Amino acid sequence: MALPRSAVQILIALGEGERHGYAIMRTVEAATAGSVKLGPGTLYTTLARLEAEGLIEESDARPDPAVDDQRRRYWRLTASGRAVAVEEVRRLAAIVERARPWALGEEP
Amino acid sequence: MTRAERTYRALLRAYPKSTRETSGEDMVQLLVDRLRDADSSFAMARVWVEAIADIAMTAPREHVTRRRAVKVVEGPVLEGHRPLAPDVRVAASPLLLVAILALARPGYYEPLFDDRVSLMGLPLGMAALLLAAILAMVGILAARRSDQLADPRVQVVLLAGLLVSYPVMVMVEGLHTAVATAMAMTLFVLVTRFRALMLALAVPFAVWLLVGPPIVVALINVALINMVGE
Repeated sequence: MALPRSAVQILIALGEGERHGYAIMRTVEAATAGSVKLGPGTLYTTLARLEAEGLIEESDARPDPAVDDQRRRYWRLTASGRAVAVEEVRRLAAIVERARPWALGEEP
Repeated sequence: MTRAERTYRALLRAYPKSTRETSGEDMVQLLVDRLRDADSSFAMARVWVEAIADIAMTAPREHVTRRRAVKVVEGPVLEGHRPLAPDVRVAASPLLLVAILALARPGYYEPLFDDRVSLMGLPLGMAALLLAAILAMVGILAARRSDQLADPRVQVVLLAGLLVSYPVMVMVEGLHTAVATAMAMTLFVLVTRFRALMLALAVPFAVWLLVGPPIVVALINVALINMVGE
């Protein structure tokens, strides 16, 4: 399954645990050292698409009202979403492994 | 609701209605979160620039995606979405008519460029053509949002708008022709129950392209005779 970069980033961010939209955005931004910034439109249209494809689902969990806004929707990976995320991570890792010797001067 | 929220909600109208219903509130919440965490005016400006660029990038894609999904799954009537291609074909048909007429009768449209009588700073024929084109565009946009046209009061107002041009036709073509055309137009609009308002407005545009040049010649002659008379 070919997924856009934003979708892959979201799946990987959700691999670490349930998150609401803003937390996903910040996780992706931190993980990519600020090179990927998901705007509201990109984030939520991608989330809707991933949900329609059965890769993520809305969580019932709601934050403590003292800590966070209860209207926030939390998202988590489904079993197939986790499988796709793992597959994507493996694919990316394989690319990095192949590039290490010439790009980073490391022994294969 | 803050001004930022109101502004962003207005911008979100660029998305299809279904996207706004599904994710609109979340998008607003995310923008509010980002603005709250922006620690300077520059950072806030940056959030806005990124948000607007984000809409510009994703809204057209959403329209295409939703339209395709609607076409495949539900047919073109879901949520008032209609495929664009037939509308474009109807809108472009007057242009095809122009091309055919211009090829068949070279010089037919020359009166439209006659600048002896001007309106809005344009030759009379070109000004009328421009107005007709605007009318046709309004019709296309209105017809694509045809759910809002179900209100009979709106229909009456639109019909009145369509009939505004007929006094001119009475002067130029005579009462019988104008009344007959107005009746035909009225029947056409009522029969189609405004689902084809676009056609109802594109048709007079096409008719103008067909009969406009001789009308312009007649109007210019009347204006020149009056000028000479004075």
